[in-house]
Amino acid sequence: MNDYRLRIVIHRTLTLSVFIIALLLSFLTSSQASAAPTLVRQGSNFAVTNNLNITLTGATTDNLLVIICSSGANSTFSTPSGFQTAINQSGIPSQAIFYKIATGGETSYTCTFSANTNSAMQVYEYSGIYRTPMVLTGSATGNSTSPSSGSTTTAYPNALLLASFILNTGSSFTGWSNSFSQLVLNGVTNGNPGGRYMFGGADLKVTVAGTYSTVASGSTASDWRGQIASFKAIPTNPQLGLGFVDGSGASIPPPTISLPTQTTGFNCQASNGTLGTSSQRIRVTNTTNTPAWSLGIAATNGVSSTWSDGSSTYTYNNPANAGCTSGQLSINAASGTITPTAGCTNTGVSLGSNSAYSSGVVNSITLASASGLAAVDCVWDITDIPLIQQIPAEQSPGTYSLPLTLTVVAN
Amino acid sequence: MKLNLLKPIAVFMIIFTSSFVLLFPSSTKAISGTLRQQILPLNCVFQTINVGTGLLYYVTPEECGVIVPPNPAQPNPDITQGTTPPAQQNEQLPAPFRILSPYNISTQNRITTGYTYPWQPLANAGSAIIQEAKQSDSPPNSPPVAGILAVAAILLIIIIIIL
Repeated sequence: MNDYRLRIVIHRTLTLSVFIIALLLSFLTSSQASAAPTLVRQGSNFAVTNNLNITLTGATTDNLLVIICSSGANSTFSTPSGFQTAINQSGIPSQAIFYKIATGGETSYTCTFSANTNSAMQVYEYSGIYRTPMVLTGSATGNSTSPSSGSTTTAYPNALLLASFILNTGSSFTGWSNSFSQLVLNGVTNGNPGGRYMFGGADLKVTVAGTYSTVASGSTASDWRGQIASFKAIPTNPQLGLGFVDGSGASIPPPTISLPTQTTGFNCQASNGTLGTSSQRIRVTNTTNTPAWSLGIAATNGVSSTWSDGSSTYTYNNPANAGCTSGQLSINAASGTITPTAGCTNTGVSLGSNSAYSSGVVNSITLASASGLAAVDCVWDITDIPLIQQIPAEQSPGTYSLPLTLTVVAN
Repeated sequence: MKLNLLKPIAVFMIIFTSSFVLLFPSSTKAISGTLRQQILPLNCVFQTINVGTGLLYYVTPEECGVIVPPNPAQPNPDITQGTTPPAQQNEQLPAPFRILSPYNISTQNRITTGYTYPWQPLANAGSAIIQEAKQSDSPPNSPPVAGILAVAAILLIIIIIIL
């Protein structure tokens, strides 16, 4: 093989290699961007004890961590440090589900029982769950071969459902109903030293709100307790959305907003209009897991934009002489109205302040913003923001327009 | 050889950058809209200035084009009286105003209220000009008084010469 052919082979090999690497990196990044709930880590442990531990590799920030503690006896459970209680039930048998949003790096998990007997523990780490997971639960108890989780009715379409049971006997199981996928099935079947018991966990990811439950089909009857918890999941394609909607909430094209007709005046005059009406509402939708955002408005063509009718112009951003020298647009965002849709609140969401465009100084005006305290998976409608345009004296008659652009940015 | 190495690197950059654009959820969303403002021509009102010389001057915005002035024969037009000469008045007016040719009128008429005019009164336009005109208001010149004064002055001069 001569040198020329060798160079061609090397070149083609390099090209193919980088193509494959780029595709792999694309796949990895897309996996990270995917928001559907995904099981990242899990662990289980069981023993005759009043204290169980599980150690996993460090948790990822903002992932959901779930600890399920189960006991064959009538036990109470201490809430693990930093966790919240989804459901905590004593009795024979007893079980509790705790959860938290990972701060990142968590490795060690503990269940502490009041009864020093047959104990079991499960730990799960999921990505794709909102920081505010809106946990809903259900439960059931009984004495039969098939423990039930009880049922829960989700108030949101995208959810992770996590079911668990403990059964006070050794048993073989053939599966979980309603398409739940088994995560753990374990226990003591020989009865020594604390007697036989089984525990299990399963999950289901749904995209439709409804009532969900599952039953684990077993072979041996005994006392059992089942529980189910629902966590609000981030949709597959989360987005920070912006648009206009009509009174019924249907999307409409960005409207042309007309200020009241004026007559050429001897003096500078103010033209008062409104941005956002009941039939032309500005709608911000945030289904991402990032609560903070900012909504601003600026001239589409930048600071050099002008009101123009094709021949004559006046400005929107000249503060000279209180805007009367060549025109200035003020937006009184603080006087507007922001309305959350059902199930959401204005906590952490605020309107902007009253401001006027000033070339090079105020090029964009904030209409509304949300802090880290704002809810996610929520929708807000913004209306009734006063606009005041100062029209210079003796402005030539005409139909003027000023292109503006609304922008919402995740902070 | 160096160029051959640059090519795969460029391919890598393009594919990787494209993957970010296509696969990462957008954190910014923008929509464009338009503000519209219609400005109509000024109502063709005009100011009537009586300079006290038996002439009325009509002042009107240039945008109004050629104005057919009201019929001066109509009784009791609402006269804003002033003593400023037309030329000076014109200099004080904003550029897009024009002064029509003066019309002869009788200045014996006094201001009358409740009169229906063939044009819209200037007061509706909030003009500063009318204020200027009013600020320059002064008692109208009276030819009989001037004549008497002139005769008295002549007589006074004659008496001084005789003495």
